[in-house]
Amino acid sequence: MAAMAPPALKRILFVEDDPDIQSIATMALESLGGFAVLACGSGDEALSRFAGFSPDLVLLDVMMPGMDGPTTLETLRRRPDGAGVPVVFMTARVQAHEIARYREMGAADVIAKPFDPMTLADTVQSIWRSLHP
Amino acid sequence: MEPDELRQYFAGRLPHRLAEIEDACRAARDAGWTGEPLRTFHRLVHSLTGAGATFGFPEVSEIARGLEHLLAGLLKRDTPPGEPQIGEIEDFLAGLRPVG
Repeated sequence: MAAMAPPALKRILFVEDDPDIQSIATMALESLGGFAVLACGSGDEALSRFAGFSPDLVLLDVMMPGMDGPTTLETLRRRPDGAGVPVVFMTARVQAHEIARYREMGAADVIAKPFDPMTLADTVQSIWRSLHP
Repeated sequence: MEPDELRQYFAGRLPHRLAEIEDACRAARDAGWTGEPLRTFHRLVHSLTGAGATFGFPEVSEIARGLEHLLAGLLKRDTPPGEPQIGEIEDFLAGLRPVG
């Protein structure tokens, strides 16, 4: 019996308040990774547009004005439609104890900032595969 | 999407970003280096640290990182900076102006 193929990663909700980082990452994920990306500039915007986009994966900046990344994740997890979606934090704070804390919060993984736009899509794809061995 | 194009794009954005940071610095100073204005100043500088490195401007990132650490210390201690630290903040901003 053939092994079942993992689900394909198609739709990414990207939450980032820095407009330049938002632009370059969206471009990289769309043009190099072939993903459909919905970019949001705040946690509030991401939560309000989440249901309409129905992402396979969420990339979430940690430090944002207003609702920060951890609070956005916590709020998402309390919703029936957001309880199971993998969330990957993007942050410059990637010491071992900080990564452990993000995982305790429910993050599936962490991408370190600064990231290389040329390899971001591959990194995201690798994380997705690791979540679906 | 080539590295040179990324650099060119960000070079065009730098004057606006630095003006935003200078405004945030003035607002933080006017607020006595406390509260939300200081947090905004720190957040904008933190963003510049990451963006500079992402877009191929390590020199921008390096200067911004120094300022970011100084501001993080102010936020942590919740005490206004002394004259030497205010001088350091001004020096960091002066270091960023030529690249912007």
